[in-house]
Amino acid sequence: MVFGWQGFSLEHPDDWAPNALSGTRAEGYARISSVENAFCQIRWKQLRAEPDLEDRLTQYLAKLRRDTQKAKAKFSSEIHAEAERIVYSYRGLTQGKGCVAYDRTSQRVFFVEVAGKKGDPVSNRFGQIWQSLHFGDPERWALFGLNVVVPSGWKVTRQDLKSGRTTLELERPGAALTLDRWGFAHQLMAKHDLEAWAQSVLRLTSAEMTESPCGIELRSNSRLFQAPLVAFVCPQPDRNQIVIASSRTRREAWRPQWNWFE
Amino acid sequence: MELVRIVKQLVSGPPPLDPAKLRKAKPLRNPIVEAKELEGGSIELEAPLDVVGKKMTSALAKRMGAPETKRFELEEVGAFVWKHCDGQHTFETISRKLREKYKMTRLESDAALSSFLQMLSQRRLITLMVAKDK
Repeated sequence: MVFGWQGFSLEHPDDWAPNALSGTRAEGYARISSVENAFCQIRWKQLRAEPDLEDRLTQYLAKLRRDTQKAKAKFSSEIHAEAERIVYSYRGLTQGKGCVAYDRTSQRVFFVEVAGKKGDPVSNRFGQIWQSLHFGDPERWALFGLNVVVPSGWKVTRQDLKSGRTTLELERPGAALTLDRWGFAHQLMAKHDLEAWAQSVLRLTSAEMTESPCGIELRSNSRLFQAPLVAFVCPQPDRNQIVIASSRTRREAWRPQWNWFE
Repeated sequence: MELVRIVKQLVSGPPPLDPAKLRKAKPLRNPIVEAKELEGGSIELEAPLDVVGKKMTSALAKRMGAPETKRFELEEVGAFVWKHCDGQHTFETISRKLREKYKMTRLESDAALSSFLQMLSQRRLITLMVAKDK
């Protein structure tokens, strides 16, 4: 399953799920956890100048060491510098493998780590996750089944993560974008017509509808002081879900496109 | 200390089930509940209502035409879960089957299943069999 957030994306095991999301594009934290103890955590921070990665890593490992020693357990760690990143691993109260790297495009330093209790295959998991890590344009917003690729530069203003429905509200100057994923598409479409359902969900009393092989496009009328709402409704029957991207903007570039959906 | 624990439980209710224990728990249908399949994959459950009170109260309830059974309708997904509440399938297994059939994410299936089983349990339609601590 894909996780995409604040300008980066990665793939994680299907039965893992994001359970901590905080911060902004400039600085933040995300954790994706398994049912048992293993988890992947990502920290990022924007820095104007390229940082000393080894120094940052040393500080982090020193903190882990202090915490482990307070619990009267042994701590060991290894660091291995590679071309554009530093890979590390540690064993203490838990074990972990991770990497610190600097992304020049977004000017952010990233810590990506997989941790778990002794015996968990953290090294393999880290390798799989690191291989899939992607930064930059286009940006992917993906979690809990929602997976949409949009032009970069959107800022999250609200997220609503419910069972069966995932909603992200994004904005940028002059534009507002909502990404919605509805589960149980087969069950919904067994009872409702797609166009009527979409109009009801989007609260569109009247809209111009255009059909396409990927779904339907709804466009509301333009009003004074309000840009028209353009919504692309994309049923994804293989995933039993419907994804809606709707935006209000006067700029064509910020309106949904069919190539946003995967 | 045991008395303190009992009093606390009486006041605040039983502690929530440990997630690890919940995953291994096996829901079992109440045998007195009758299930009838409906069109579209739904199921209608019929459960006898308890008549609480002494002979005169229960006679009065009957005279006033109080229903003797209560009906519940489970739509397709609920019916799918109900069919797996056979005392053989664990919570984890049912959650996995939900993910496979309805393409749910793990958190969705766990949260929805937990909430649904709690509702069925509160209405005494199922019992959740949990392994005892050794």
